[in-house]
Amino acid sequence: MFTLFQQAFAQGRTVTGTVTDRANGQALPGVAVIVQGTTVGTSTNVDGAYTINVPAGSNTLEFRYIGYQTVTRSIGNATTINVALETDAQQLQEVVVTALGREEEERTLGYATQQVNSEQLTQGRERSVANALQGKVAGVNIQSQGGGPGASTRVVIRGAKSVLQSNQALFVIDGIPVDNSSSGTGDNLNNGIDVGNRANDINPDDIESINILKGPAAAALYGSRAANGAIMITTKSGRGATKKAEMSYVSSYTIEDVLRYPEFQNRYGEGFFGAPDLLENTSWGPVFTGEVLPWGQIINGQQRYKPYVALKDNIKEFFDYGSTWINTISLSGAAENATYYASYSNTSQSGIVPTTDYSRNSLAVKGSTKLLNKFNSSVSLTYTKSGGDFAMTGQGNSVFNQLIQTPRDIPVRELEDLSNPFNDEAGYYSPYTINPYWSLANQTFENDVDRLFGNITIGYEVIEKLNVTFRLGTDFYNDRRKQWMAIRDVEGQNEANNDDGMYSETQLYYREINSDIMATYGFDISEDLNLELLIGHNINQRTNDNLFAQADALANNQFKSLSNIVGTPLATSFRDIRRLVGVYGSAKLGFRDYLWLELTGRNDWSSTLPLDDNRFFYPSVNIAFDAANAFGLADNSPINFAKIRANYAKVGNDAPNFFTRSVFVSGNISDGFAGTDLNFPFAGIPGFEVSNVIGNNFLQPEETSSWEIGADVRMLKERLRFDVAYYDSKSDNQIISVPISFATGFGSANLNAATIRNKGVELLVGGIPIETNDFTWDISVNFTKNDNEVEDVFGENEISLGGLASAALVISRGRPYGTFKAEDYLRDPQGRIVVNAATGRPRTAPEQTYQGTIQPDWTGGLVNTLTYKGARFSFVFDTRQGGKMYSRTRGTQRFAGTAPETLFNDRQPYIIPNSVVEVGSTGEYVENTTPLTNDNLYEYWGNLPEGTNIVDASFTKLREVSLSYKLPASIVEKTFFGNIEVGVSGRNLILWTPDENTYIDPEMNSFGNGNLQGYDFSSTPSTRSWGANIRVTF
Amino acid sequence: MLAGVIATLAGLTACDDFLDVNDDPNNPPTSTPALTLPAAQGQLAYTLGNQFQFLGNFFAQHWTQAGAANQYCDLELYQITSSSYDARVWGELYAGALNDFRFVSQQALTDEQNNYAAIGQIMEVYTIQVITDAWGDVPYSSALNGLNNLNPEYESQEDIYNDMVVRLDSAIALIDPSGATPGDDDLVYGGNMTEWLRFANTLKLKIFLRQAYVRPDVAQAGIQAMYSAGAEFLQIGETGDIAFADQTQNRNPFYQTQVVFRGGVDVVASNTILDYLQETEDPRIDKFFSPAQAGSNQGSFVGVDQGVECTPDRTGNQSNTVSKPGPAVASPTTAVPYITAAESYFLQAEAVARGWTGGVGDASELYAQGIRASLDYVGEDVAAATALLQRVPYPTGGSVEAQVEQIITQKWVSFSGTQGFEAWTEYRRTGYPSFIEPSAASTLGTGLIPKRLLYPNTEAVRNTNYPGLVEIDVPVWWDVKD
Repeated sequence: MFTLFQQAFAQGRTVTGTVTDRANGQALPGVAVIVQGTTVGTSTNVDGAYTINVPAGSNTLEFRYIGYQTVTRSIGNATTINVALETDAQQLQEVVVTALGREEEERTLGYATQQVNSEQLTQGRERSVANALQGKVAGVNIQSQGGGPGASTRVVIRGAKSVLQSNQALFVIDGIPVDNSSSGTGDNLNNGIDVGNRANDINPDDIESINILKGPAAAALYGSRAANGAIMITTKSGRGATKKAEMSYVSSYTIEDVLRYPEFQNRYGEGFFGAPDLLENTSWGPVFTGEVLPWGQIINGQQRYKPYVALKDNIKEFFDYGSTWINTISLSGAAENATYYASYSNTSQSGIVPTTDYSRNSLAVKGSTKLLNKFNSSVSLTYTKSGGDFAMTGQGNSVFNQLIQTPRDIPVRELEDLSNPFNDEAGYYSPYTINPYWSLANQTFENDVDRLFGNITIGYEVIEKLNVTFRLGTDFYNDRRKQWMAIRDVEGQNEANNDDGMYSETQLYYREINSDIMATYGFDISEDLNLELLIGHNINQRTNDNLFAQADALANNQFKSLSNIVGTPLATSFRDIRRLVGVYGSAKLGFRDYLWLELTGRNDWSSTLPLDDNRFFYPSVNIAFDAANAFGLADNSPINFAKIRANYAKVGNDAPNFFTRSVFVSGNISDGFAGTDLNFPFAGIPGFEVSNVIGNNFLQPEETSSWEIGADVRMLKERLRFDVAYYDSKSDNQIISVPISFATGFGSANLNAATIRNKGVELLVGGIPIETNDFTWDISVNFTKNDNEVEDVFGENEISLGGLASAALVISRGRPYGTFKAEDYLRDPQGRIVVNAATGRPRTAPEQTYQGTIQPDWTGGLVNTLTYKGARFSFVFDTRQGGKMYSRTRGTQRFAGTAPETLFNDRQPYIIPNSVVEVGSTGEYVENTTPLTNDNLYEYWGNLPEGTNIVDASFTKLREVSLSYKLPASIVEKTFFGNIEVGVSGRNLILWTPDENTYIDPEMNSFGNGNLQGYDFSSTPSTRSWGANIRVTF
Repeated sequence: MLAGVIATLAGLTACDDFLDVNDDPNNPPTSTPALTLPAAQGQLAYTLGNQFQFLGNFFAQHWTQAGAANQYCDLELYQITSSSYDARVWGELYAGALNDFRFVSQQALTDEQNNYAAIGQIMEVYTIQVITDAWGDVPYSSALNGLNNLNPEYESQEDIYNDMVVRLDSAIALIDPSGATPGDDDLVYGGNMTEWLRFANTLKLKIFLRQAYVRPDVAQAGIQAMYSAGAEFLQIGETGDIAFADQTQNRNPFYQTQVVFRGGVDVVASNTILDYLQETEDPRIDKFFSPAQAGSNQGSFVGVDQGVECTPDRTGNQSNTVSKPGPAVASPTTAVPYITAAESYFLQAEAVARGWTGGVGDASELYAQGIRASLDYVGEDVAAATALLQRVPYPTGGSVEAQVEQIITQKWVSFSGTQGFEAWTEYRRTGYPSFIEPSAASTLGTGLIPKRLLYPNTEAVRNTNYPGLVEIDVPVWWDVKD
């Protein structure tokens, strides 16, 4: 009998069953079903079903699924075992996507990450993924750069590190790095255009979740580009779908208008020296009287009349309401051994500046299958077509530059009809500005981007737990740009604005290819110890191939083409390529489910380093310890979870392209004005000059080393949560073009020269103060303080990031990254302002001074979410305290006499308070007795040292408010919809700034999302938006 | 997929080839004297014809700021700062022109192209003279060494002047009109080495005469030796200049910057020169300037008192109500001269007037030739010189100083609008024209006109041998005459 019994078992038997989620009864696909004590196992299919052959001698099945409690069942005589798994509240099984697209349990990570889910991301109906993260993540500085449609955003994690190269986080979609560059228009001072950053091509509705890898340790396996952290985007895949097909449709419509108008004075109107002047673009005229007076030019013996009164809203009236309409329709589902997702999305935005718009159409498909023979594969492909019509910013002809100077009594809206002889090029009232409506109609910029990114992944399970994955991805786009400036050819007072016109076309082509082959193997060394190993190989190649052609004098205003030209077109091309090969590995040791230790290493070979010395290696180590589990706190204290993490990482980085060799360059010399260069060929003769940059074939890789400690503590059954991190990172050996004395015959040399340190604290406190059956209030606060210091820039050298000669943003030893160096008042030893004895106007100090940094003291966010039955209400505050910005709006408003501060002393003669004059050149100072008068008040306000235009950039914003309501099932059931959710949302609704900033939203930056930040240079104002949305599923 | 894996593995093994892609495909790794000479010549002309054109013509009072704008008031206030002529002038002169001429001369010697080497060296001397005349003591022998000397030492102007002559002599010795010569790539003379020889001699004469007050003995000996050796100088039609072309970014830089980019709103005629031209009924007036286009003075030549529009007394009148720079100086194709034939004659006249030529030459005739050459250069009928000379006669028999004053004053006229920097420099050396008074907007002490430029800010920051601030009213070494 005994023998027989054994025999029966020895034959083995088949067990089948279904695994479901206890909470909702839905099937759970992918659950590991293992015969305990053996290597036999399988996993459930999309319907949650499994079939397993249980070998002889075994009698227990184990059901494991990440995020659920593991269940064991003895088999006995059963042939069907159905299991309902319970979510594992205690173990906090958050699975996040880490470097290389790996999925890991958050609790085992020895570094900081923060996950943002789809709901949090899309609740505000923001078209830009980066903007949608604002205020929600600790340690990440996300700054939207402008108010124009499709404008760019800068994302910097844990402070700027690099002088020359990008400081922005790496964007990774489904494991493949994608481009997030922002190629500006080259001449930001005169006609800058924010064409957006390429992450704008990502449709937020396609995103399932974003995990932010904050430090070098988190991203070390990515190598060179990881020092800045990474934004890991996981797109929707159909995974977890419970039906073969589900269709969903999201539509939202938001309206936007200007968030912050500058404040204006409303006492004095058009004129100069206190007297009326109908040509003027300034408000230095007489006090308003209300009299009906002529304005503008006399044309054909006629002149317009209007009351001489302040028009409080004349600037406001110029702007339209903008709107953004986003429609996304998606299809997803799962069948046996396969999942799929497909979506089409259209975003149409019209800007607050008339004629401006932006649109994005994206088509995404993604699918995965499990093949026979232990192969599995997935494919993902996204095609995006985006582009828009943009308005110029900057000095010169930009719209905002004209508006901000407009006298307080000029009815801007009456300038709109360009066929009116008072409004055309010749008839416009002032020769010192141009009609902003003319500028919009005749100075245009448009672009059109076609982009494709995606990847193919093939996996093979060699033996159980040994998996090999090959992932090949690409990202390429073509950005075609067309800029047009019509000929102006008039006689009379406006003749000085005559212009030959200009037309240019730019084609930017970019392609990135990335390949990874990875093998992973996990096994239990003993009951207490398990090990996960990974080795991999990576190839990355990035190329640019650009063309630019320009007609700088047009034949006529009839057509936009390069053949519309007088003379010869200017054409240039630019190409680059860089390649990187890397091998990497990691070993992660887990001990008893509460201690994890991971070691990683990566070795790269880069094409941008000297060919015979292009290899560099860098390691990292991280450790995570769950004290709650280790000491059993969960059972006898309110603490559910108490993870302490620590890590150390070194990350290498290669050089910019072509830094290793000196070259000759085609002759070009410029005085800084637009279009005034001497550019070779010169009358048909080519000329090549010795490049002013000395190449260096002895460059070493850059190195960022960092350490971090942190803790993640959760208590009261997850009702209260703290996450704190302290980090210290040093970026050393930075490869920069060190400015050198021109007398060397060169202007700069490529050297390993700079060191920058970032130290900081990130704190996240979250809690659920109220949780009842129907009502939940979830609150989370994040705080970030980053201290940034430039420790070395090649001795006393100073590197300018750009800006203005009179107010530059520099990198200078002992100061934070990006410090303003600007003109200042000349002051006596007591700090009093020294004025010119003859004019009473302040003198400018001979040396520029350091006047603050763009780096904030701290930033923070507050996220509140309240849910009541099917209703959800969420609002987000975002704040940045400290830091400075340069405001040209302030400078222009002073010069034009529209700033409220120009009303000081009601423009009556006055002596600058507490000012002195120098006695000869003696260095002695006596009290100033020369007043400013109406004759030079304009000069006073118009010529203050540029440093006085640097203002406090602190702000607090009500970043996002959203309210949504999911219709109850009882109603939905009567329709053919699966789900109906309606909502309203608003973004950037309120802005608070310090009193001294009456000018502009401090988030604005006119120079795009590169390293040159903190300049309002007559950029399009930022916007606030509000709207409604609906989501339905079928 | 398999192909992908194989390609990937192949990539790993063939690493060196795969990664050998860091040669810049956009720019050549090497050049030749023929390819670099025009770039160097063009860059020097751009600086002289642009920033130094504004500076010199304002300081020498050919031009002044118009009323309805204030772009160039710094030049009227004499508020030149250490950043005014930094990277875009100091930087372009050293790292652009000078270093490129050095490449031409050195590469040409290697390639045994002696005529290129000669041109390169002559232009190096010309460029360093511009630099030292502007800033005084500057890096010279230790300059242009790249990474080998990141902190070039400053050298006295006297030493630099001494070496310029040595270097010119060595360049002259290299000239071989029968050897291989440049062609169109020599933007100045198209490879005509006879003219280059005359250019070199004229430059040498200019270098000696600059020292006429500080080291008259050295100047005299040097000039004497040139005349003894029968040196020839530039003649009518042999002006060494760079012609600009009416094509995109090939146009005269003053035209591009002021007339096109700024819409001509800033620069107008200074009454200092306009009064003199009107007094002497100079036929060149309508070449140097154009009549007012609008307002009550429309059609006539009317200027603005130097600097007054940058003072509280300004009128605020628009630029088109007065005279602006005219067709000979503000056209798309206006050439930028290095040395004009007129200048050559005026230099010779001064040498003769000082009695340093061993009796060779007639100062009065050379002076007349200078005026004729200037008329010729601006496109005026040379015959008109005869009448003009009646009104600006040469003070034959007058004191040396009186003769020099007349020569320099007419040379100053000939520099109007095209050689501003040299006009200011010769004013600093000689104090002529004597009727120049400082700008009404001057912030310097009484009677002062800038005597140098401030060392650039980049030097203070980047060069440990930076000598410290030297004020704008401190004369350079050769500037000793009150």
